[in-house]
Amino acid sequence: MWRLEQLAVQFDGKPAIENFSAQFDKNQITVILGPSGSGKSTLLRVIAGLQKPDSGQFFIDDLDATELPSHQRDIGLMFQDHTLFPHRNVSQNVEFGLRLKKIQRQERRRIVDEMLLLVGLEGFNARDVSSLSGGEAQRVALARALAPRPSLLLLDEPLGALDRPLRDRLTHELPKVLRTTKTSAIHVTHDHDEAFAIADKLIVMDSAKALRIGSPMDVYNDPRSETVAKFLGHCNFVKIGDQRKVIAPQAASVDPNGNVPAVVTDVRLSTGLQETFFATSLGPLKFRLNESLSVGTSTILRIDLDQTATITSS
Amino acid sequence: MIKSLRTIIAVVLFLVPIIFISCFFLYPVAAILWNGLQSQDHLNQLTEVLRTPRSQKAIWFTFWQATISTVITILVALPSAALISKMKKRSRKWARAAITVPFVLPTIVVAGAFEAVFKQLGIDRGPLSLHHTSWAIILAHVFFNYAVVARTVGSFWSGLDYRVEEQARLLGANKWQAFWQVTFPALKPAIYASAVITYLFSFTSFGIILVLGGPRKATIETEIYRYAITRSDFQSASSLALVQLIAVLFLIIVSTRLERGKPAPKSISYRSSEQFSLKFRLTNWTLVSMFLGGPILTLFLRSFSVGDGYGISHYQALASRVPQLPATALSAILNSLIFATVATCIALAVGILASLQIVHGKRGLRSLFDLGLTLPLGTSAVTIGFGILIALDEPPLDLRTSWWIVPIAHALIGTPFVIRTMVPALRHINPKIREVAATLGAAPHQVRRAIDLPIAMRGALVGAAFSFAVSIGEFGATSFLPRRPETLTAPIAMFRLLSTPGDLLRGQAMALSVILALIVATTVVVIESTKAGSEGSF
Repeated sequence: MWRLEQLAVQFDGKPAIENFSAQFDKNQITVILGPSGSGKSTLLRVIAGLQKPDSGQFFIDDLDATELPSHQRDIGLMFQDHTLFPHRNVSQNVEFGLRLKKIQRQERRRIVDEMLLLVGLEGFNARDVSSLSGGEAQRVALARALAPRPSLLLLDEPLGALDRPLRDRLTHELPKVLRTTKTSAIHVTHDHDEAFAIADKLIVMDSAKALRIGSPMDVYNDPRSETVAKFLGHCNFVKIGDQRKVIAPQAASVDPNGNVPAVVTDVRLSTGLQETFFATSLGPLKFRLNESLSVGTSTILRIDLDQTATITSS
Repeated sequence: MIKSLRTIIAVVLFLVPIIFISCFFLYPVAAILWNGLQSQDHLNQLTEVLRTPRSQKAIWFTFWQATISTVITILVALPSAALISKMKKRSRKWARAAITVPFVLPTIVVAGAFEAVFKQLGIDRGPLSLHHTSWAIILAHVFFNYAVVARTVGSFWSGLDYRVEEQARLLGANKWQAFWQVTFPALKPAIYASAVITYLFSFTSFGIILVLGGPRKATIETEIYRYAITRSDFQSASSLALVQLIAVLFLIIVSTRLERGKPAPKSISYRSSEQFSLKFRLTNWTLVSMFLGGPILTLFLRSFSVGDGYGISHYQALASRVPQLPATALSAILNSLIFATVATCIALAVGILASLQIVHGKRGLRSLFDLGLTLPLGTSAVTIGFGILIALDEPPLDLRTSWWIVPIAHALIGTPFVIRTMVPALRHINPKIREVAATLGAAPHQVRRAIDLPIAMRGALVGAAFSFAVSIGEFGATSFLPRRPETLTAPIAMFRLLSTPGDLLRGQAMALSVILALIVATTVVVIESTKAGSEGSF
């Protein structure tokens, strides 16, 4: 179990992390989701021991590890790209951490083969790292990070530099590998699709602060603040009575006996899904419907207004 | 226990470069200052030396010949820079390599080559004689520095956006107007930068002036030599060395100012498909190969010319004793190879330790290391040699009779080369790679050993090879060091042979030059092939 308490980091007087407290549990994948510059990478660097916090503490199993140097933390780290050791081949990269642990040669070989198999690169042992594609390089980086069996693995946008199809595939494979090896992980990303696909627990970060911590479903259905809601892709903000509410894009259906009359203003295709824009008495709204409607159609929507989330802050 | 041992090792490694530079550079330079300023007549010494007409003439001539050499070098090298800028990558690489040959030759070999040319053309005597004239010196300086201007300006030029000149042409400017009003101003930073380097090299030139200028044409450098070695007047020599130090310091400040304004050429640009006319290209390259290739070819031919025919007797003579040399020329070559190897090892060790401090050391110390260890690069070889001569001749550091004094002096000159190539290589390493290594369990000293050293080693080795080539041809500093049979180097032997009249000894000097040139050329070929096509400027 790893715990951050009242953490703060400043760069040239500008806060990168403010008053951050969170707990990361064993065998869980925690995803930190936030726009670039929100301080999430800095958070990982503090946990890895690469960045000294200005105040606050970091605990490993209730022991204060704030001053512990990186190489003694047993915490692995994987970056976005270009971090393979250029002067070592694939095997030599993967076994780097094992050598430092003074593991015998035979055992090292066995683990390297096992790791390469795990990331789908068996037989790549003697390959020069400059000959690898972007996806292969990231798999080697993952194998290298996993090989010494770190108690916690930090992933800093590990798929960020890959093209879309590869990224989707690895988004699917990564949690599988992590669960097979029973690795606890903290994964940082700015992509909410990736976050929802991987996370056991989600932390939404913006402007150096943790805005919302919870299970992915909880956070999505009840974002609480407008910033979090917008970052998760919500755009239907309405005012009902005194309350500001957010309506999920799946929350409406066409129903002659519905409660909200609406006119279609636009229809757009977004990553294979059809999004229909409406002008309604509640204001402009956007929904993903099963039906195809043409622009100008007048219809009635059924929206369960009781099930919508309430926004409590901006 | 292990931890304290590690701390001791770290402290020792930290101190090695500091001690090296303090003992063999800072202390000698301090000795020059002390000697130059301190005297019985309290400071009068300095002004007295500067008041002699001979010194004044030497100082004036130093500035004059450096200025003329620089201006002429730029004028004659610009056409080649223009042609190089429009060449295709492959032919450009070849052209750059070919024109660089004179630059890497030892200065004493360049001097020998021009003596050979004058003899061959019959202008070593008579009304047209260039023997011991300013023009001989200037010619040799242009020959030597040609590559500095052509390569620096050529690389920069090829990075210019050609569309700007095309724009000017479309607006009605003719070719020459477009060049002078658009392209030339854009080239200024590169021209200034290469001009300053050429000026600095000509200003601190020693071997070329000593041989080609003879006793009549003296610069500050050769005057220091005359006072110190011929007359053993260390105080006057120190005063002149002081003038030299101040002048060079000023030039270096100017050059860093100019460097700062030099924008990096863009990596990708629109290259014009328009080529220079065939006539221009043919004329330029013919003249260039005559001017740069001629002296080298003459040197080569004369080393084989015996009487009216050809033969290898000059080479055979290298193995036998002549009264002018304390040992055979052959043993001088062997000495040079051994000195260069030892000096390179020292330079490599000191350079690597210093580079690690420059990149990873404590913030305040970094720039101190950087400045301290690259200072010898900006100091003339004569100053370094003279400093060592006057500083290391009494206890606690009495190395006058030691064999080590030569490789140490050479290592001092070679270390900046190692640092100059290794520091960029270290800085080029993605810091995240080190961080990943740390999270994989590598302690800081293990990161240095497993990541920094192996990755930057190639850079360090390129620097070491440069250091080797420099050591093989080193003349300025070595000429101040005590002469004994076992410390005779090939360039010193060559100077002795060149400065004694007589065709037989000349022939031997030529043979020795060819061997020196071949050793250096081999080293440079090795450097170029490991650099794998990278295009640096000087």
